[in-house]
Amino acid sequence: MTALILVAAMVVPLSGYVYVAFAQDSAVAQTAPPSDPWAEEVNPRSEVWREGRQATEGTSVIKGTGANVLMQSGGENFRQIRMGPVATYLPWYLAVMIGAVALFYIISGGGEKLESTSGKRVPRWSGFDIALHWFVAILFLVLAITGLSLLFGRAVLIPLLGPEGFAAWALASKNIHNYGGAFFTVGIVVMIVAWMRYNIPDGTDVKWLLKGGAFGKHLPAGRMNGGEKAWFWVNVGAGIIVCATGIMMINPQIFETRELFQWNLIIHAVVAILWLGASFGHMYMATLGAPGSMDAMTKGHVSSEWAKVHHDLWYDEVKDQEFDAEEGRGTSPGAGASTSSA
Amino acid sequence: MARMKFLCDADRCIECNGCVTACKNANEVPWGVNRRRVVTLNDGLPGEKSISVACMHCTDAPCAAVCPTDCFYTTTDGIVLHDKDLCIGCGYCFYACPFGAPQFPTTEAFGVRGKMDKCTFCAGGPDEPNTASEFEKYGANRIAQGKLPACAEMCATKALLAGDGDLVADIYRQRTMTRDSRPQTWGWSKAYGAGA
Repeated sequence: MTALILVAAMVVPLSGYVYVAFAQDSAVAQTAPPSDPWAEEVNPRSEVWREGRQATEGTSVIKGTGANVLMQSGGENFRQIRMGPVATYLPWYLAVMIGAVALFYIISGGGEKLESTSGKRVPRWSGFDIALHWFVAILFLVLAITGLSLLFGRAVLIPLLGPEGFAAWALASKNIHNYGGAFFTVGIVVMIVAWMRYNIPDGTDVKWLLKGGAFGKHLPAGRMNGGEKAWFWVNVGAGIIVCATGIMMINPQIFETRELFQWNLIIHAVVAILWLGASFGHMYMATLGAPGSMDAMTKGHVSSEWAKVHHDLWYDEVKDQEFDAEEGRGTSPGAGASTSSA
Repeated sequence: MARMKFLCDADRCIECNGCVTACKNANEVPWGVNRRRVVTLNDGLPGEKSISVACMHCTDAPCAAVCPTDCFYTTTDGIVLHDKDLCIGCGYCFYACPFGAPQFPTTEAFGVRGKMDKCTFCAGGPDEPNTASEFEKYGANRIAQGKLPACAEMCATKALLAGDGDLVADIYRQRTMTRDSRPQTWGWSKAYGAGA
């Protein structure tokens, strides 16, 4: 009831706008067409100067992006957003993410080290999956380093490298970022297609996330737990946004308006840096957060103890493929991880 | 010290593009690059106005603010120049510039932007004045020779004025008083701040 009164208190006064809108409509309807042809004429010269300032398109024999526009003001917003919030807050975000991971490690002491007493292993990822992961991961880091260099190098690297030294590095960064981004996009698309089927969320994942699976509690989980699935969907969302804006920016001949580029560059930088911050969590979980996980993406198989603790439901599905580490992987026929999951 | 400014008198500009040609000739700019252009508003309609526009050499230049390699600098004459040895051709200056001044040759593979080229107020660049390397990169350095920009010197109707901002403003004020028109220092508040 209180809520209803509150809503009403906010909405009812707005009815004044409705009245004014109706009153204006009827006023317009009542006005006869002007008999004096000059009645609605504005000083044409004042209009010209207003247009000149408002990015109105004119005519120019010179062709090129925006060549027929005298003045665009979107560039000022671009400058203020890029050099203001983007350049100010995003480094803090990255620092906070690194700090949070470090703090979590100090408090929790890292994940539990599981002794492989049985020596049994289960296959988890195929050679294709491993290659795909490291292709995307290495490009991700290369693009992060080059991209951050272009955004923050002026403040951070010019004092270290000097103007000429930094210019050489920035030119290399630009080219690596532009061409590397094209390959990265391919990798992200293949990754989305190849791994989507493992990452469809279900009730187990919700419970896993809500009960604190990410904070070291061992809860029931399938092939991918809630945290891994969340990271996958972060990659899907951020990957699509970052790759789409990037592709538009490296093709200014096709996506040529200045407004589009200005917004693309801001969105690209913000989403990419948020993504990079989230990736610190992934890197932590793969190394210190859950020791033994790295085997999945290096060897392609994990110890059975690790699988039982972290992915018990999945272990039940794949335990018939279990093999002995000393005998090697050959004992496991058709060990491709992609066939092992439902 | 003089503060160099451009002013285009829209009541005089006849869209002949002589300034564009003079600029190209004096600076031998790369193919596809136009440091100056003439824009006509309401072309063919009553109240048509033409304005010649290039880099306005802003007081607080947005191009310089967004440049990743900090390659821009302002001379003691208030002319905004850039160092092509530091430019990486990222294009950010073009997107920040209100006047669309920065230009990029696209002669590299996949149409990648080359090093930025823009109006230098005929003041060359950071290299030794009037050397071959300066001319090749930045064009003529007429300021070092005691001359004004070629575009304004070439303007047949003297619509385009270039030089010390105070002198330019005096000439323009005299004109508007003589012909009883309203002054319109186009682009000045954007480029030089509200008080200009």
